[in-house]
Amino acid sequence: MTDRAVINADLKFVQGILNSGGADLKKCYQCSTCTVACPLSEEGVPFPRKEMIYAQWGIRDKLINSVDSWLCHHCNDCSDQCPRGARPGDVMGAIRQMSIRAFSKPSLVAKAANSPLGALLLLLIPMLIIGGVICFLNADQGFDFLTRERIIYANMIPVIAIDLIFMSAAFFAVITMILGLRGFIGGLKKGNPIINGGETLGQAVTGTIRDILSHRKFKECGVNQSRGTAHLLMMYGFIGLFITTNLVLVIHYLHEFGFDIQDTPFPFFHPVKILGNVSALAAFIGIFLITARRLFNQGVGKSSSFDWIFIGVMFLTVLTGIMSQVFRVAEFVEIAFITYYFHLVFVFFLLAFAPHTKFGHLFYRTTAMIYARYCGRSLPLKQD
Amino acid sequence: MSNQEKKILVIGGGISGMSAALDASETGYSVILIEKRPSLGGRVSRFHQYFPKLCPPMCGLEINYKRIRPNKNLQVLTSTEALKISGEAPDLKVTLKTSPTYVNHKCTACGDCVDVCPSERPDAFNFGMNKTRAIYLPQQMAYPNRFVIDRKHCPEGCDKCVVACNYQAIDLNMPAKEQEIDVSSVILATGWKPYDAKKLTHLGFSKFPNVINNIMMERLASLSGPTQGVVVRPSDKKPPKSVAFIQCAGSRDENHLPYCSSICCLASLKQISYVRAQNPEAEIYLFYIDIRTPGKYEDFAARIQEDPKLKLIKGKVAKITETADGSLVMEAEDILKGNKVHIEVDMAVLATGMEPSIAGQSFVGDTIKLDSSGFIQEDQKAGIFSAGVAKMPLDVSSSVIDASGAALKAIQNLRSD
Repeated sequence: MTDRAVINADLKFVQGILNSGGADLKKCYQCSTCTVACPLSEEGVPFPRKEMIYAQWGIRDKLINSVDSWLCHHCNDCSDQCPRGARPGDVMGAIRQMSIRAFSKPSLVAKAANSPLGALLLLLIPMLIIGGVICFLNADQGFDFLTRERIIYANMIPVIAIDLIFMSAAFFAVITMILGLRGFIGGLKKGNPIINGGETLGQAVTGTIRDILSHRKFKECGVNQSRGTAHLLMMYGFIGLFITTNLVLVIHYLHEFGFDIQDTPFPFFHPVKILGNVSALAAFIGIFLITARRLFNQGVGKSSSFDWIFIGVMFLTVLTGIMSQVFRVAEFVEIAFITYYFHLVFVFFLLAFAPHTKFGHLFYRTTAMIYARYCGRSLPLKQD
Repeated sequence: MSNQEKKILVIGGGISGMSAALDASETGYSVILIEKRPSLGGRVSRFHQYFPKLCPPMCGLEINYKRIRPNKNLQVLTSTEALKISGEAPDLKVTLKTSPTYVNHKCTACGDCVDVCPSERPDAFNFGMNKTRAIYLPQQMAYPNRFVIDRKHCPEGCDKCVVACNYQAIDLNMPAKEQEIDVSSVILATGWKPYDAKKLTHLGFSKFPNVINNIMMERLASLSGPTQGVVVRPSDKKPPKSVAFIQCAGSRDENHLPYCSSICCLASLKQISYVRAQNPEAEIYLFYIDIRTPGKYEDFAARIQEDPKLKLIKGKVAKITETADGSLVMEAEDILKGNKVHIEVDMAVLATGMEPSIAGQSFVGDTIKLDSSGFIQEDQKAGIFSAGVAKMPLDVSSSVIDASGAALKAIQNLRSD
C-alpha cells in the first residue's frame, strides 16, 4: 500500500478563521493570483495561496507553526487583485490572530483579552488594584491631594507604588510572553526546517531589527502604502514613550537618592518632556490615521475585535496621557486626577496583556522574522 | 393576418442568427435577418479552425450562404441595426436603421476601386493588425460580396473609386435609411465580443505588443488574416519560438467577467495545435486554474496534452513584464510544485472570455431583460427569444443547436393565437 497522509481537519480552527476577519476564506478557488500579487512573497515557498487551502481544510498545525503568515504585512495587494473577493490578506491576519491565541499562556487570558466583554472584565483588574492602592494610601488624609495648591499626581499615588504595580504587570507579561514564545519557537522549528543559506542568529537578529526600524517591508506594499507611514509613526511614538517613562523613572530615583537633579513634573522645555510630548503626538497621529483608514477605506480589510481592542486601548492610553497633562496645566483638579487614574489603568492593560492581545505581534512577528532569516526562508527582497 | 404573413425578426447575422433565420424561414415563415456589420458571418468568420475537428469554419459559412441565396422567405439586411423595439407580442414594432456602405448591389467585387483608392484604414476585422484601403471588402467570405467605403478615411473631395468603377456601383452620397417594421417574434442573436484585455492592467495587453488575445491568434493563424496564416509575434514579425497561453484572462473574476466562458480552454488547446503545426520545436506553456472541457470535449484536451513539448502549469499568470528585446516574462505560482515561476516567452496569448455584445444597445429597454452578467433572460410572453451566446457562453455547435430551438419557439409564438 502506498503512503497515506492523514489530514486532521480542525473545523473549529476553520470557524475561528472565519470569525476573526477571514469571513470570505471559502470563496478561494486556488488560482494563486494572490501569490503573484504579493510583493513580499518568496520564490521558493510563496504565500498566501497555500495558506488559503490549509485554512479552508483546517490544517491548523501547518498554519500556526509557519513563519509565512508573519512575513505577510497585510498590505492587501492580494485582496485587491483576488478574482473571488476571498481577501487572502485578511485571512493571513486571521491566521496570525489564531496563532497568538494558540500559543498565549494562560489561554483563558488570551481568549478574554480579545473579546469585548472579556477585555472589560480584564480592565477591572487594574481598576481595582490601582483604585484600591489610591484609597488605601489616601483614606486617612481624606483625599487631600484634591485640595492641595498644585496638582501633583504623585500625591495621589506615589512613584514607588506605581512602580511596584507596574513591575508586577511587567513580570506577568514577561513570564507569559516567554511561555508563549517557547511554544511558538517549538512550532516554528517543527514547521520550517532549517535549509541551506540561512543567516547566523546574530545576522538574523540585526537584519530583522533593521527591517523593523526602517519599515522596509511595508514600503513594498502597493494599494495600502500609506499604512506603513501610520504604523511607523505609531511605533516610533511608542518607542519614544517607553524611553520617556524609563528616563523619568531613573531621574526620579536619582533625585530621591540625593542627586541635584530636577524631579517631575518637568517644565515644558525639559528634554525628556519634549521627547514625551513629541512621541505622544506621533503615536496619536499614527493611531488616528490607522483608525480612520480602517473606518473609511474598504481596501484596508476587515477588522475584528482583536484589532479594535488593541488599537482602542492604544488610543485611550495616549489620549488619557495627553489629557492628564492638559488638565493638570489647566488646573481642572478632579478631572485631571480621574484622567490620570484611567491613564494608569490603560497602561496596565497594555503592558500586562501585551502577549495576549494584538500587541503580541511585536514579539511573535519579530521572532518569526528572525527565524525566517535564520532558517534560510526569508530571501532578500526582489530588486527591480 | 395569416401565419405566413407574420414575420420573425432575427437580430445578429453570426452563426446563431443565420441558423435561426434559416431554420425558421425554411419552415415557411417570413424572416428578416439584420446584421450591424456590412457582412454576415460574425465571430465565426474570424476563426482559423473549429475545435475539436480542426476544420475551417469557411465551409460551414458557405453552406449557410448557399441556403440563404435561394430562400424567398428570408430577407437579409446588412449594415442594419435595431434602434427600438416596442409594442406587445404578437404585434411588435421595430425601428431599423441601415447605414450607408456607399456601394450598391451592382458591385461585382472586381477590386478596380481598391487599386485607385489613395487612403488606408486599420482593419478592424483583423484587430488593427493590418490596413485596408478606405474602400474594402469587409472580409474574405463576405455576404453580400460587396465592397464598402469607410468614409471617415476618404480624402476630401476624392472620387477616384467612382471613376474607376465600371458598374456604377459607388454612390458617395448614399443616405442612411430608417424604417419601422411589424414583426411578431424577435430572436436576439447578438453574440459576443472578446473581453477588453486592456482592463487587465497587470498583463500588459496593448502596452506590450507581443501580448495578444485569442481572437488575434485566430486571425494570425487564418489564411485570410494579416499574415496569410503565418503565426508571428507582432513586434518583429518573427515566428515565436515559445508561446504562453494564459487562461481565465479576465474570466471567473469578479473584477472583470465573473463567469466562465466555457470555450477558452478548448480554444487555447486548439491554438496550441496551430503553433505546433507551424513549429514542431516551439516551447508552449499553458497556464491554467482548471482546464475545463465541458461535455464531450475531454478527448480533445487529452489529445492536445500528449504534445511532449507542451508544459501545463497550474497557476494563473497574474503579472507579465517585458524584457528589452520585447520578450515577455510570465509570473505565476506553479501550484502543483508550490514555487513561483518566471518564464520567458516570445509571445503570450490571453484567453479572454466572451462578453455579451447586447449591453448598451439602444433597443434594450423594458422588453428585454438582461441578467447580472449581461446575458439575455428570455421572456416567452414578450415574444422575444435569444439564440447562441446572447443567452450564455456557448461553443459554435451548441449555438447552432440553440438557434434551432429559438427558431421553433419564435414559430410557436406566431401560432399561439
